Amino acid sequence: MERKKKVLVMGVIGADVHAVGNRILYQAFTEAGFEVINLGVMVSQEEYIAAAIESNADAIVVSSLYGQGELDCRGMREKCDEAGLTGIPLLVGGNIVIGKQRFEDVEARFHAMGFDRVFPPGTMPEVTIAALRELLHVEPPEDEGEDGR
Amino acid sequence: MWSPRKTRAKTEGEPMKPILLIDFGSTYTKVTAVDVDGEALLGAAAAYTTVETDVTQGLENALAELRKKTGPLSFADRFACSSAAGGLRMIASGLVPELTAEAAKQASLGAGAKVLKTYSFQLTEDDAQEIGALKPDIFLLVGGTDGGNTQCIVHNAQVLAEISGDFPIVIAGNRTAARECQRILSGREVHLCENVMPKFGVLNIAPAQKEIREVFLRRIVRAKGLSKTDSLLSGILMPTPSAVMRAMELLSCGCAEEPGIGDLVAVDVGGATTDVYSVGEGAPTRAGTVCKGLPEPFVKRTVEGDIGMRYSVLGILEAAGPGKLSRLSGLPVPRVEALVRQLRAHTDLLPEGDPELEALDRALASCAIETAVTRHAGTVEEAYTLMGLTYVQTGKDLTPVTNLVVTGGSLIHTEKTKEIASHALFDPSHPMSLRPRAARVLVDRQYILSAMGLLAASYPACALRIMKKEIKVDGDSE
Repeated sequence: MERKKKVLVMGVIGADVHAVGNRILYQAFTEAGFEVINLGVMVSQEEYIAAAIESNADAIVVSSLYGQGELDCRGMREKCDEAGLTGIPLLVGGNIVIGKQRFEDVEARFHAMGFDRVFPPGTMPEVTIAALRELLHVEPPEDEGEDGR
Repeated sequence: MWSPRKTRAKTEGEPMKPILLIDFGSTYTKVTAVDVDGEALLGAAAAYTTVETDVTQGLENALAELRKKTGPLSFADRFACSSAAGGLRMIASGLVPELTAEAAKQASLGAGAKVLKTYSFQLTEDDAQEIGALKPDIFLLVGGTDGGNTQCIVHNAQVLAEISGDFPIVIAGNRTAARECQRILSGREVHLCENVMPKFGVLNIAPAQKEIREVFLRRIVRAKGLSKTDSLLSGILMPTPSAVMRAMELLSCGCAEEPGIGDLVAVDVGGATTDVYSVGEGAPTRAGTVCKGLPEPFVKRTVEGDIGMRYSVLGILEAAGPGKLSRLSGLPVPRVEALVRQLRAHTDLLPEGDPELEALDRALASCAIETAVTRHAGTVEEAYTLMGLTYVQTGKDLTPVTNLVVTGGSLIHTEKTKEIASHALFDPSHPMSLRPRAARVLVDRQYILSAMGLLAASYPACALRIMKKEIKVDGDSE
């Protein structure tokens, strides 16, 4: 029997309309063997959560590219808990804060907010994919090339 | 538009093919006779229905009335729709309110049902009691995308299994859980069909609707005493709203032999509810618009249970406010409130020349149309992003729709149909509501929509041409 694919819910949070990176990530995650529910741009916390409930998702991947990610992501873990998605892995990446800040500080703040993985600007999709596989305990498919694609 | 064969005047003795179309209502049985060869209405009549005793009597009386107008006719076919005994009463349950629960509601409404209640998440003991008390005709059990959440639908199947009652259950949820739900409900009448939302954001309501219609035919019709008329009918018994939907789709989209009139919005203002139909994609008309929410069905039906001219007249007062009704009717606020209460107490009251009641009925119909179409139409919000102004649309954008079909006593029996109907249109003071900007008003004065929906199943071109002829323009809105 074919093993069930892990299900990801992804999208760009808040009043953010950056659609290009979203499509690239969708392609990369799909090719890496995930079943991806892409909510597109301008996604609210509630939309991620509703989609994750219906689809019994294994992880939520939040992108933010316009610097307001910290505000947009606040309270998301608590809402997931409230909705019964206890312990669902939350990943976030992009230009998630404004200005030049030390990434270690940003990462620490997002960890405190309940995000499992935080990715700095310029992260390649392969890095996120590796993190997802680790979090969700999946092996890369055998036919996957050395370059991770 | 008319083929030469069809425009030919009928001569004496030429064969005619009369078809009888029956609408079993909750208070009236209405019959319409159509000649499909001549593509013309032969006549219509109505008689008081007594579902409690015998619907065949109501039908016989209506037919006797019809014969007085048309003379004796030998019908080639008899088709019927029914909203008798409360229509097709359904309850639906899904998982997330905006997702599968909404999809379940859409599927039920689109099948012509009266949706008594829609539940989200896991059913509780109290919900179970309520369902048992409401005794629906059909329960639609959904939840989870295919391969998604199974916990909720399985739990809800267990709750349903405990409820006494013999209502059939249509399962249209996560396919992974479908068989398990069926086993839990063994001993009950269960119908399995495709998921109403197989993938996130994909609406697949047609299979569930087909199943609901079949269950309606097989079972509900018998339960409601219509089986006595079985021998009189050649077929297609469907819920009346389903017939109206079919007529609207045909009028909009056309058929192989005859083009339709394009996208439309239709409103039926009744005594207890106001139904709104829209046929069209409703895709955004403005560049840079982001769409949110479930995809919209191409033919969409909504029912406002709190908006109606008599039984639900208090709902209009609540939705529009006494101030607005006073402004539109020219009556002082206390008088409006007193008359509205009077209408609620005497639901058979007609204006019949009383200038106050006429003015109030016009104001009520205007507000009913405005409220119902506003709730049906999509909305757009402005969002300022770092990339500039963006629009976020939820629901259908009906602004480019140019056809507005209206029916219902309060719109038919007035000379101000166009004025009342114009309240369905775009209002610059509420630019967020995506209602038609400019539409011609088409009036179904003869109340033929459900009959034409029935006729459409066998004679679509004929039904379409009759509708084009009988549903008349009451002027342009601009």
